[in-house]
Amino acid sequence: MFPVLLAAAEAPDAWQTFLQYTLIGLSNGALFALVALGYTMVYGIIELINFAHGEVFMLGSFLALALIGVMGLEEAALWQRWLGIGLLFVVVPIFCGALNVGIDLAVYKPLRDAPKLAPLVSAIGVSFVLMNVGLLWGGAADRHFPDLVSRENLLGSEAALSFTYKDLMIVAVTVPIMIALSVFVKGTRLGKAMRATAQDPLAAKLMGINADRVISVTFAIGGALAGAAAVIYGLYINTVSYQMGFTNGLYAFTAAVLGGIGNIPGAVLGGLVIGLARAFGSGYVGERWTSALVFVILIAILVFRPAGLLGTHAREKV
Amino acid sequence: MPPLLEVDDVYAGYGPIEVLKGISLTVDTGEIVALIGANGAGKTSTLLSISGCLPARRGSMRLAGQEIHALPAHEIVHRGICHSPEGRKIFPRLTVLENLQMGAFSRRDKPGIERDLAHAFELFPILAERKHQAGGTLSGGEQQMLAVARAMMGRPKLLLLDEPSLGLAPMIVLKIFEVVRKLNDEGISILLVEQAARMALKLAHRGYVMEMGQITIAGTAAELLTDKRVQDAYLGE
Amino acid sequence: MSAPRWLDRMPAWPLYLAVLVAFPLLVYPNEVLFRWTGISIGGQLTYIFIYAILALGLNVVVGYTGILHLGIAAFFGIGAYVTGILTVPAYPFGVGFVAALVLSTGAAALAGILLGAPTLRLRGDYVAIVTLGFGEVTRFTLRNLEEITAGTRGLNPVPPPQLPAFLEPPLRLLGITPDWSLDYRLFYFLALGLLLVVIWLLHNLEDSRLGRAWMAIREDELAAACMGINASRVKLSAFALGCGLAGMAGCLYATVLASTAGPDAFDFNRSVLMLCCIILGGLGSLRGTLLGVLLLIGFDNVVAPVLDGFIQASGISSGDNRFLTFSNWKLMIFGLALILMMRFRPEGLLPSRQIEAEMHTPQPLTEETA
Repeated sequence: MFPVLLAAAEAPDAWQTFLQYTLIGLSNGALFALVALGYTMVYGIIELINFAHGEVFMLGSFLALALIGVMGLEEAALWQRWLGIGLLFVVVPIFCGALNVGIDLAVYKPLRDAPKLAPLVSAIGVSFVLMNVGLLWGGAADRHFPDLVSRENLLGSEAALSFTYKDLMIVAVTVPIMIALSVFVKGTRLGKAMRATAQDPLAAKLMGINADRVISVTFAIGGALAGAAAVIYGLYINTVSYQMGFTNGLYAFTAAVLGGIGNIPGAVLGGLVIGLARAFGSGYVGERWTSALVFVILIAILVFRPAGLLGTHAREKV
Repeated sequence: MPPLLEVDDVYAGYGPIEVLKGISLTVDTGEIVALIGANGAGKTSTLLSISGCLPARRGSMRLAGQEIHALPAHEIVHRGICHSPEGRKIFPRLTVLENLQMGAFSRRDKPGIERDLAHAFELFPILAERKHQAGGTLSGGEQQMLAVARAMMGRPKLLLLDEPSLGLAPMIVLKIFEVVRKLNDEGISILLVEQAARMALKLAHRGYVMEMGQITIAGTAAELLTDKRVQDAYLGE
Repeated sequence: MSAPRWLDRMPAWPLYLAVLVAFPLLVYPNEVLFRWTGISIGGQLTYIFIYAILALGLNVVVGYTGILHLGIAAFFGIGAYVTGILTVPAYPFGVGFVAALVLSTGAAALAGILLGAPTLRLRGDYVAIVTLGFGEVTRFTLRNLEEITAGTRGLNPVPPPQLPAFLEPPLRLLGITPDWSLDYRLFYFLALGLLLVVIWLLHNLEDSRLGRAWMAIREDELAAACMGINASRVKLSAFALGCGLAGMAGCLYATVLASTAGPDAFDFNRSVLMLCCIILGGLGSLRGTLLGVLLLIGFDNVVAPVLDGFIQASGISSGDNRFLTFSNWKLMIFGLALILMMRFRPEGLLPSRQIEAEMHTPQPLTEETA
């Protein structure tokens, strides 16, 4: 990868800018992809748009912030810092996974047989409750998230193109997670049970698959991925607020829809596309229009290709 | 010794609609029992109720003397009832092999699963050819074969088969019924729901006729085949 | 002794209406309440009437037709900004209130048609997302098109309506000063009057061919289509009417506030708050929607600030403890209300009979239900 980037740094200006935006877009996109996976997996299993997912992500970043304070990572030596960050990537996903499972058991599960509007509206309700928890926990103002990962350019401080330790962190965390997830879903017994339940819940039951357990596992994994994304987000963006779940949740949801909701590789692709769209949007159109741009993409995709980029057929239940 | 399956006065339904109004039937070990009746008589609901997907509101069900009607669906599979549902319901985006593996989901004995997998491919060679194809790409007949084979992979004591002949060419139906008989010869008891009443009764040892959510006629297959009422209503003579 | 039979049969609404008309005319009750709470209840009721129009519009879409609309605030905003552009002195149009009301309603309905025509054929939860996305796009656009919308400051001043000269003497007779900025009661009666017109309109629509078609689609779109209902056109009509009513409410809002407010007044939270109102009151029920608006907007605009003031005054909190600021718990309360309603009373407090039956029918496992 580095030789390519170094070679690119020699390219003419316009190209360099383009490549820089691409890099930014891809790293941001990987982040959206992690959150999008949670939406897409839950939707695949119970056909619910889990509005609360973005808020689980938000609370994850708040927990990470609190843990950094408790461990005193800002003042710690370098090796302690890395150890602490590693710990964050364990504790926060566990917390978010458990929270997500808890929400499902407490709120969505009793509504499994109700008309579809009921769980959807409940999910909006949960999202409000969690947002309020975030507000009470962290206050209304934006909060600074310590800048623990170096911004030093890996390509050398003179290079025209920038690829920092932060960017490396995103790649180093998201790529293994996604590989592990796809191995899990493709290869393991539980992963196959998950796909089977998504494709035909009744038949899955008849195979002896405990649907409740599969659903819980799905929420746990989705939550954990959001937790990992929350830690990355904090370390990368360095600002968190109780409202971040809503906007970022919407971006991630857009990514999930873009890739074909319920489709796991689709969510990753969708995340990357959204990341790129935002990067190019702010680079070439203007920062303030990027959000509008993303939602216009969302609407356009839903209208013209509702099954998403990778979805070959949407499962329509009449 | 108690019968393998004993359904005793079961009521079940959806919301305010009562679909099963006091069903009682038994399946003995080694038997093929046919359940015939018109569309909407409640045959499919009976099977769903036995496999725990449509909870019984009243009445009881016992498998080899043990109560099963309060168990969740997956637990009932573990106890040895496998169900090949109406409309086949194979997993469209899992491969044929994965579909069969899902059929063995409740089992942990790897060598046994491998043996049964080989056996399934022996019974339905076409499935071996299509092993790595997605289930959704199979033809209707192949899908039905897959559905039967998948249910068989659970190594059931009792196999529930719902309309295996639906929408299939006669040749393929014959092939499937032949396998059903083979499975029965190997010791699997079978409760078969069929529209094709004559074929089902020729295959079965005993039969029940269902009307409007109730069992109206019961008897050996031979008795039912010669019963005037059954002939008039279901055998088209 | 029991009440005479004619009293039993008499509907309750004339009584409520009489109270709403009498309350501001009696002057005294509002002043007493103002002294206690520091809030002009009459002034807040004006906003409640406006939100009631907005909620009734949303109810046409969500309640009658069963389309989950998560962006109603955008249409409210479109109404407000169209009114702003047509009336503020910075623009050359300077049309009157009535023209602005008609055009805002029409513009919002048109926006609804433009959004709905290509999207309403999508599956339900996708429509929800489309409307949500449209709401956000609208908000960002209002914020970013500073040359037109004045960005976050909003357009102002929106002038009050022209009062016809012949109305002045009777108004004076009732003790109302015929000056919009001096007497809240002019706006109060304007909003109440429009609300009554909307209620009358919807009440008649409920029993019309179109109204029944909406409800048929909510119950079972496929079956409705099989009965010869042109589902996409019928859905679009509900969507257009709902969005139009939202635009009308927006025009009224901007006029009463004398400003379009900023784009953030029309955000997702506003949409969800309106949704909470109709869910709490009872989807598809006129009475329910009105009750829901009274409870939730009343809570948001009156009870919450009063309690905050009370907590401050009583010295429990010095004012910067966020846990002791009542308004900081609002989202939690709305969220819990949604969750608990969906779990225990999905049909709402004053349900329509039909919705009640739908909400309590479990979904069958397979196609075969008999």
